[in-house]
Amino acid sequence: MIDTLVISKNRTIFDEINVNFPSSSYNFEFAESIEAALDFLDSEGPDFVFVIEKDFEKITEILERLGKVEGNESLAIICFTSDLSKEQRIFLYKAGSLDVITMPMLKDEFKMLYEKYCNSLRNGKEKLGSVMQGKLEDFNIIDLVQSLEDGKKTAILKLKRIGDSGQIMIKDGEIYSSEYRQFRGLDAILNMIGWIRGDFYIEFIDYDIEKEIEQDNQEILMEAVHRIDERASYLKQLPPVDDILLIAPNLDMQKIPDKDLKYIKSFHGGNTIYQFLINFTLDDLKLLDIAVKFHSKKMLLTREQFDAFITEYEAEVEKGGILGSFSKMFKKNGKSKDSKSIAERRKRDKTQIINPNLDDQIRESVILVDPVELNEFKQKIEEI
Amino acid sequence: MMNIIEIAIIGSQKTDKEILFSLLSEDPLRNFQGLKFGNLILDNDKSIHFYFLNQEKESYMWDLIIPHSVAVIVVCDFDYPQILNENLLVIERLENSYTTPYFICPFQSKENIIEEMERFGIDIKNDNRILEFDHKGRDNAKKVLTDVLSVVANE
Repeated sequence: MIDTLVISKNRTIFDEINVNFPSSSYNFEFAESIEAALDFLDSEGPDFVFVIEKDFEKITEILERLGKVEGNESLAIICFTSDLSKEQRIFLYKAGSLDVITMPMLKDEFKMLYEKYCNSLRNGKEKLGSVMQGKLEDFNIIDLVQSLEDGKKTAILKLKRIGDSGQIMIKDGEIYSSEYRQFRGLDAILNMIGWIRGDFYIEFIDYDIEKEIEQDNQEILMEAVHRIDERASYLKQLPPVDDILLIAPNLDMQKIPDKDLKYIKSFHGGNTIYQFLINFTLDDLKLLDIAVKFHSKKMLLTREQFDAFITEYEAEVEKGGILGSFSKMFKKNGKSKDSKSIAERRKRDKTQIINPNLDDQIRESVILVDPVELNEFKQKIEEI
Repeated sequence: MMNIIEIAIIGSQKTDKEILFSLLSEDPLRNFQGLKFGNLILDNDKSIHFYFLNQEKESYMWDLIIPHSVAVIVVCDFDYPQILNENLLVIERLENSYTTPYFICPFQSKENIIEEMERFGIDIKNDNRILEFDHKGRDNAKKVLTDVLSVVANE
C-alpha cells in the first residue's frame, strides 16, 4: 500500500486523483491546509506528499513548514504548481521538493507519472533486504572498503554518479577485482577513488570470483591514498571543481595541437573540472594534468576572468576597432561589382588549369556559371 | 563531360569547416598541400567540388581556387573574438583581392547574429550572405548550398 498525502485548497482535485487509483494498492489522504497536513504528519508517515498550489509564495511557505517536521528527510515531496520561472523551480528543488510539476496536466499523464514514482519506491523497497546504500559525500570509498574488510563481508560495492558507474568486488573482506569504464583491477579503483559525490550501493551477495588484483587491501589502500594526494596537488592548482571555466576569448584554436583540441572544446560554452573528468574516459590524473596546463596557460578562464576580458574587449569595440570591420563586412551589400566580368573570370576551360599540386582527374572539367545550370544543380542537391 | 561547380570553404577550425560536406557525403576528404578536397556527386553528369582552404595569411591556393569558385563560404565563430577577428581578416582579403561572392556561415543561429549586430547598430536582417546552418541537419546543409546557388544565380 502506498500512502500519499495531498495538500490542496481544492478538494475537487483530490477527489479526481482518488477515484483514478484502486484503493487496494493506493491510499490518498487530503489536507486542506498546511496546519491540517502537519497534524496528519504528527501521527502518520506517508510515502509521498503532493503539494498542489499555484502561488509560488504559498508553496514556498508550505515547503518551509514541512521542512521543520522531524524526520522529514524521508518525506518525498512533489510540488504541482503553475508555470514558474527557472529560478523559482530551482528554489523549490532546493527547498526539498523531489519534483516540480507544471499544472494543468492530463489525467493519463498524471497517472503515468504517479505510477512511475510508485514503481521506483517499490523497487527501492525490494532491495532494502540485501542492499545498503548511501551517499559518497558521507562515506568515501576508503571508509566503505575498510568497514567491509573489518566485517569480512562478501559484497559488491557499486558506485554511481551522474552518467557514470563502477564497482568493486569484495570477498571475505578482501578486494578481489574492480571495473570502471575501460579500467580493470587496481586502475579502476584508483580512477574512482577521487569521487567526491555520488551514491553507493553495497549488495551483500555470495558469489565466486577470481582474485584479479594481486595486492592485498592494505597495499591497495596505500596506493589509493597516494593517488588522492596526487589528485589534491593537481586540484590545488585549479579553481574549485564546480566553478564554470570558459575558453579564453583570445585563444587561437588553430594553434592548439590536435591531441588537445577535443579537451579544450569540451569547455565551449562553459564546463566544470568535475564534469570534465566525467566527460572523458582517460585516466583522471592525465585529465587533471591537461586541465592544469590549460589553466596555467590562461587558455581557460573563470567566469569572472572571462567577464573582465569581455568588458575590456567591448570597450575596445566601442572605440571603433572591430565595429569598423563589422560595418565593412555587412554594409557592402550594395557594392557595385561588374557581374559580367565576375562571370567571365569564373568561366574557364581545361587549358586554364595549371595547378601542379592537384591531379588532372580532379579539375578536369568546365566550371559552370550559367544561372539556368546553377538552378539545375540546386534541384539535384534537393534530390540527394 | 562531367559538369562541375567548385565551392571554396574557409574557416579557422580544422574540422568544423568540413561539417557541411560530411552531412552530405560519406566520402572521405582527400588531402593536398594547403587544402582538403571533397567531391559531392549529384548524378552521372553533375558534381560539386569542395575545397577546404586554410586560413593562413599567404596561400597561393587561394589564388588558384577562389577565382574559379562559384562561391566562398566562410565559417565564422562569433563567440570568440580572436577567431572572429581572423574571420574578419579573411573577409577583408576576399573583399579586396577576389570578385567571387562570399557567404558567412556562423556557428550561431541567424537570429543571434542579427541581435548581436543590432547591438552595434548594424541591420543585417535582409543580408542574404548570412547563412542559417545548425551544423547538424542534412536538410539544413542542403539548404545552405541551394541558398548559395540561388544568390549566385541571381547575381
